[in-house]
Amino acid sequence: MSHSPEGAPGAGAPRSADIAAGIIVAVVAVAAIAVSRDFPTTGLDSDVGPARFPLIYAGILIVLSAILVIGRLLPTRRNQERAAEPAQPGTGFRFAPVAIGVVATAVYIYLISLIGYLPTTVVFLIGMMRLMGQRSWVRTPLLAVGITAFLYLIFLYGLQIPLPVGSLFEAAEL
Amino acid sequence: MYEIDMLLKGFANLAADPVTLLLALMGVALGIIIGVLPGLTATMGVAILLPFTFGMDPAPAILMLSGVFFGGIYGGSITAILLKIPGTPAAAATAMDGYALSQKGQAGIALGTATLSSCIGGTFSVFMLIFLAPLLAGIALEFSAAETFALAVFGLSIITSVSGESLVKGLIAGFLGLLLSTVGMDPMGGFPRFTGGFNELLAVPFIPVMIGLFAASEAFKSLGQPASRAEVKVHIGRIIPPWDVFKGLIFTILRSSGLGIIVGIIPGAGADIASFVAYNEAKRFSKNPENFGKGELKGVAAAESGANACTGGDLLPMMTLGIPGDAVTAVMLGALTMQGLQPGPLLFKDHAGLVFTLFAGMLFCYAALLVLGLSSLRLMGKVLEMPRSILTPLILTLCVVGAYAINNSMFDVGIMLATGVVGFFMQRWDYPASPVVLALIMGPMAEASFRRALSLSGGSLDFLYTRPITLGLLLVAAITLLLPLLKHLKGDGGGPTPDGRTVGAGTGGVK
Repeated sequence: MSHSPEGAPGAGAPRSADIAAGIIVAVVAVAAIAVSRDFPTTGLDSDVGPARFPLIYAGILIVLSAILVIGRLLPTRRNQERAAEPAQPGTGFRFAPVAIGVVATAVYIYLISLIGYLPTTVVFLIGMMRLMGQRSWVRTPLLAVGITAFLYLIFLYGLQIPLPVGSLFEAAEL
Repeated sequence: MYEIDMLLKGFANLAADPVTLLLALMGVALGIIIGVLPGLTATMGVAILLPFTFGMDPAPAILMLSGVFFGGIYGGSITAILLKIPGTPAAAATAMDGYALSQKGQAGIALGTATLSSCIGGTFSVFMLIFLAPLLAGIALEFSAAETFALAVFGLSIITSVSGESLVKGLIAGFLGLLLSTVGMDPMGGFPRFTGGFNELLAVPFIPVMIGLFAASEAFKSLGQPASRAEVKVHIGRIIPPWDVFKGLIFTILRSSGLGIIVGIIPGAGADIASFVAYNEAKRFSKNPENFGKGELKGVAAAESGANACTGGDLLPMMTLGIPGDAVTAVMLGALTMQGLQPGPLLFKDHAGLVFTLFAGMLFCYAALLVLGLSSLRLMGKVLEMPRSILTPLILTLCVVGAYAINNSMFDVGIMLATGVVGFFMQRWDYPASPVVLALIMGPMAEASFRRALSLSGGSLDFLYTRPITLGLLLVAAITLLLPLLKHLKGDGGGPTPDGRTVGAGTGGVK
């Protein structure tokens, strides 16, 4: 059906994705059930205890994920149609930059807690802008420094929230 | 009359507080810009801006976010008309006739009509809110735990059934949200559940989750999209439609506003659905429906007044019952809670002055939208030239900084990142994100009120079927969930599409 050129999700995730998602959901639900078994019981008639609701939700999730996975495994018309469709030609969506972006953000977050907001944000912004095609070595750093300083000042003076300086420097100050 | 009296007092409060008005104005302007930029939605705008309102007083904070909400819904129409790129999902219906009009050289009239219709639809919906909200809050004040439980179940059932292309995926999203909502202190005994020993998880970190699901996930998505450049080439021309033309639209705008309000009140159905419903009805009522899609001004007027009338409708159940009408109002609910205001009937009892100041401010926001909209239309081409390669890194940074600022906690930032990644995959694999967030809000409400009702009744489940309102709401909830299932079994096996969403995907022409 419609995968828009943007690569935005249209109707119909790939079959493998549905099956994978169903399994992940089921695993999460089973884990939740395993953990909730250790919750204390109240022993009261008038209360169901802390475990009841998570157990119900997790149970329903297992049923739903089973429906999802089985629905995709059965040889229904829908699955066959999908299988018969030629693989979506490249919609222009690339996973590599997304993966790089996610990892870069994770590293950025880790480094903020270590060496603080100011240096990391400048580097992160420059890196991400270059990843997305801003190649200029003049405009990009200027923008990065500008945005970093602007946000820092807004948070410090406008909202009275000092952004982190990083545990390394905090330790040095002591 | 009480409402008018209070509203006038609200206006007086606002007039005495120019900073609040200025912030509301800024909110509307930001909202319009966010709406214009493709890929940035009103929900995302409100989620990103929310941490910035943390230190403000309640009135300016909520009004600034309302401004972003209203402006964001409207702003999408500008790109829809000029470029056939709906800046927000709600503008997909506008794009059909709006773009056709611009190709005929009537872009200005289409934009002017969209602005006027948005403003009229929105203003109507705020007035509806002003008169209905105290009424509904009064009724809800009488609700006991049993009714509150039924209400939460009712809200959840509708949300999961309307918000996705596949019922199973909508339900999975909803129940995942419910399961997540049990993280933290158990509402009766205070037993910590699923916290893994982290004190940060004693309450669900709601705002970081929303920033992750609605903003970071979009930013990640945008990283993978090929670079594209939008350029406005059309001639805009005259903006304000001549009276003769506008006269013919009034009835359409009124009807669409009514429809938009109703769709808005229904939990889970947001502006995107409202605009399609209004558009389809306008087409059905028209003497020459064949003109629709080929540049019919009524189509633009219907879609835009419907979408913006939805805003007040969405706010009604959120403010009076604590049940958000859609994802944006879920985020706004987070903002209210952050300000120490618990949405629900008591809000109208304990903070009536503030509530009516907010209503007055919302009317001001729509007036501001009209003025800003009409005067800035010619500048929007410039906004569109803002490259994504700068915007996306900026959004990611805002997500990180914003998630941190709520509690000065890097733990929250980690939660934001994790939900951002999950949100990205949910989007790609067609799981709607709104049920997760709405379930996060309503899950604790359902559990706490169920258990309270149970303890009040001494352990008997009688309260489920002996109280008329509870029974009624639970029955409607059951029907809502079973109906699509029956259709699914009986029908062609395709996923239920009760809304115009597939139409949107086909005709939206997202580029």
